[in-house]
Amino acid sequence: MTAMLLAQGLQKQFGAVSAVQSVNLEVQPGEVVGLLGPNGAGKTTTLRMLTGVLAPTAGQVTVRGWDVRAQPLAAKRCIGFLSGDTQLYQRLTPREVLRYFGRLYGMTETSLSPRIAELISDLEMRSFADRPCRTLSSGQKQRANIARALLHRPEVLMLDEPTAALDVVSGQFIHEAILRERAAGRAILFSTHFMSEAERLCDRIYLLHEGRIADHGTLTELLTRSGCNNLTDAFLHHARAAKSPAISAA
Amino acid sequence: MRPQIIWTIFRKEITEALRDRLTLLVVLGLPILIYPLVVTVLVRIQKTQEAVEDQRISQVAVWGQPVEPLLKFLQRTNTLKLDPVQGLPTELRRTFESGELQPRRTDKSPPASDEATATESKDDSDDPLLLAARKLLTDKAADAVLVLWPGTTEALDQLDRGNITVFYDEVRPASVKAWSRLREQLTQFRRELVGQRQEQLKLPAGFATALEIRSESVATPKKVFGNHFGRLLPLLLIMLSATGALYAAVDLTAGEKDRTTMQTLLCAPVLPLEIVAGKFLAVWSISLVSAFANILSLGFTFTRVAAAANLPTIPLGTLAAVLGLLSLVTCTVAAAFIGVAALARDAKDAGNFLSAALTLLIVPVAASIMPGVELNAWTAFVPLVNIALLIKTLFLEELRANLFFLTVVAAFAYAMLALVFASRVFGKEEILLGGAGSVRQLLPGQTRAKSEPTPGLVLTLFAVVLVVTFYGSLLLEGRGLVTTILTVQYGFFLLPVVLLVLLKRFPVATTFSLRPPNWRSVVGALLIGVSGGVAVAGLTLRLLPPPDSLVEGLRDALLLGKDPAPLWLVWLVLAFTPALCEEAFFRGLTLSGLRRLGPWAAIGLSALLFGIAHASIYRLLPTFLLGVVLGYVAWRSRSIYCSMIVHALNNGLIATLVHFGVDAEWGLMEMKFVPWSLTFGALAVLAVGLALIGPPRSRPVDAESTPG
Repeated sequence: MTAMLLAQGLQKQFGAVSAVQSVNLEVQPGEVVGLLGPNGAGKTTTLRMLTGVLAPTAGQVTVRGWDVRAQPLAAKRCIGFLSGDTQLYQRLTPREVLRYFGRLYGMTETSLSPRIAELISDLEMRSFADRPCRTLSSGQKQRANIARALLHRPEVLMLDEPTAALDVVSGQFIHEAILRERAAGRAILFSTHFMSEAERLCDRIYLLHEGRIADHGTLTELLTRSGCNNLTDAFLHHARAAKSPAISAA
Repeated sequence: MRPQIIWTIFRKEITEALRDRLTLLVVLGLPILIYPLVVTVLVRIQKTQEAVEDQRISQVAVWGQPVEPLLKFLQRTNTLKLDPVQGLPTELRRTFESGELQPRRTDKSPPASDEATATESKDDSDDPLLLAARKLLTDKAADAVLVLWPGTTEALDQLDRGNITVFYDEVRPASVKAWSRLREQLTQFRRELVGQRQEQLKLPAGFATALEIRSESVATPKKVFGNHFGRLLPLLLIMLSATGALYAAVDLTAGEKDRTTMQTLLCAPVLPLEIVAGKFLAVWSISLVSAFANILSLGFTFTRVAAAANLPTIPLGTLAAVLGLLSLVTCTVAAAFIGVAALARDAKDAGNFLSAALTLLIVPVAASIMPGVELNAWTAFVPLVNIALLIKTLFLEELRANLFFLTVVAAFAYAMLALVFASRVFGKEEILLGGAGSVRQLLPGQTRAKSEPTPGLVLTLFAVVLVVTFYGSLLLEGRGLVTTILTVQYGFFLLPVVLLVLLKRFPVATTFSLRPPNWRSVVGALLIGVSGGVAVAGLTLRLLPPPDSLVEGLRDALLLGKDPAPLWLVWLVLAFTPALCEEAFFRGLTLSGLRRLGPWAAIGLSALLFGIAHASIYRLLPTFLLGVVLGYVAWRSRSIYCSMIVHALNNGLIATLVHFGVDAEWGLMEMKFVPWSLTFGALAVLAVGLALIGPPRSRPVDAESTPG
């Protein structure tokens, strides 16, 4: 099967600092793939390169066959991006935000209004869809952000720690949305540092440590290879191995 | 309230603020720097102006019968140049000499002291002498007019009282200086004359007056008001309009970084250039609304309030023109602010950056307030100062078409540079994603070398070359026309493009379209070359007839001086040189750089730049049309050699006609009489020529990239 999202040999250098080194990954349609790593592992930089926002120092990214650097507009039309720390335009309402991004994505006015109404209904946003974003709670803002990311029906969803600042109920809402989109056949790349979240949602997982892919595979494969009982232990195993090669050899 | 808690919070906030270097710079550094800077700049300008005025010889027009002893007395000094009867219309001269005109009397008694009597400026449109003097002084043909009333010579001989009036313009420093010099000399002359008479007649000191000296300013009250008002107003308008842009620029750039919405925007299928264009237009619009509100308030105030205080009203046309000029300033400021604010790490830094920038704007704009700083060929290219001075000339009602054109061209060039700067900032993802940028990151060497020139690069080069050429030409004044033209063409046009192409390693043959043309294109180019100039002149100069001074200047330029130069030199300097240098610049690098905009946009824009480079409002339309023809020829034939042929023939033939004086017979130089038959004939030849132009046969025609 052709990968919906494919990254080969991605590298990013900030001056003397090597933030990401030789990252290869792929995501198939209808698959949730986790990108796991501690703070500073290079998750956000990797995601920025995958979305075409940041130019890699080396390597290539294709989304549905489009090269994100050579054909950025075509590639970006296939991507829905959501980040946990993204705010909304404070003086606009969620409905206005959705209309703004719909136009940027080239949606026609006739298709835009019903799609916005559909998302407002599906994501239970009716009570706050016409209130300025500055008056919304974190959970409400994140729902509006999900609506924005799904608005143009992207084939690939990239989610950068989408539940980082949310309470349990709002986090659960995001989880359900992810599973729903997977069922709809979307390719989903999902970065998090919550191991339980990854265990629950991801079909495959990439462990990122200090800018490199430390290991990747299904949850079972990762646990088998590390000899651990849970993902947290498996991740710590890899982190220690990176610091002390002897552990790895053992 | 617990003082200890308040103190603790206060200490923390101060500690944090003091650790922010930018805050320290704005709060402490800027005030420490700005006043010495403003004062130093202004004092330097003031001293330079004074030195210039002191060294300059005052031109004085002398009207009336010469009073030999007085004129000899005045000529003793080397600061006054007397020019008899200059600017006095013949009819008025007759009336004046016949004695029909008499000096205007003031309500005051004749002076008993040495002092001259000043008459307040009035808008006396019925006084023909005042009107004639006003015209002469407003045209700057003289600095003052010395009127020796009929009978003054006889009065002095017969120990009677003579009458002298000095007209000057109180709003022109050169004229005030001339009046000051005249007053000093005239008073001295009268003192000596009175002394001689007292001695001759054995009269006590102070008995005789001998000579009544009156001064009269030709400036209308409106002009005097405009002078005071026009100095302060540009500063106020520019600063307030710029302030309107400041907050919007911060919110739309660094504010988006703070809210991390910039990343979401960059994930959308939009180009960085589209983002910067949209944001720039928003900031510019807000700034324009601010400018419009200022103008509206100003107009309302002066119509409703100032009218009651007997102040002159501001014409609606002047207000509209000021708004138009502010749109140019705000364009530059908005683009620069967007770029600077995007460089900042967050909104707080951006606010600090732009507050500093706004404060620094005061320096050049304040310089335009200085007395004696006028809009001229030098100041027309100084950013912000030029617009401030142009607004001042609007209020003084002394607007000159060519200076207006130069100022607007310069303002466009600076706006373009500011936009290129902003687009470069928005091309840096690291900066937009929240990192602080530095100007070093924006320098050409920091970006990946591109294999072909870009629109931004060629527009930047044009703006820089335009300014350098302008000042370079001024410095070359007096070196002769041939030296000036050759230096400008080879030094300012050809050299920069060749250096740029070599340094950036652009493919030389592609960039300059160095391809041999087919024979049909060569024939086409020859036909266009002989007909293009006449066709363009026949069509355009009926719409925009040039002033006689420009026609004369152009004729001198085409002859390479007052005395005709040899024909081979004329062709070398005026035909072959521009065909090489201007074609390399406009149809070579510029057209290549604009290629990605599409054929017609590239041809149109390169033609507009070609027209602007000729620095005359009267030549803009013809040179623009010629630029369109040249651009089409170069693009369609894929060969710069064809446009070189057209350019050389066009220039060379006109220069040859002028050389042999045929133009006078045909009226070609006047261009008001190009007969329709000649125009249509030239258009027919031009059409045939254009039809013959085509791409080389060896290369397939790319239908999408070929205009027509």
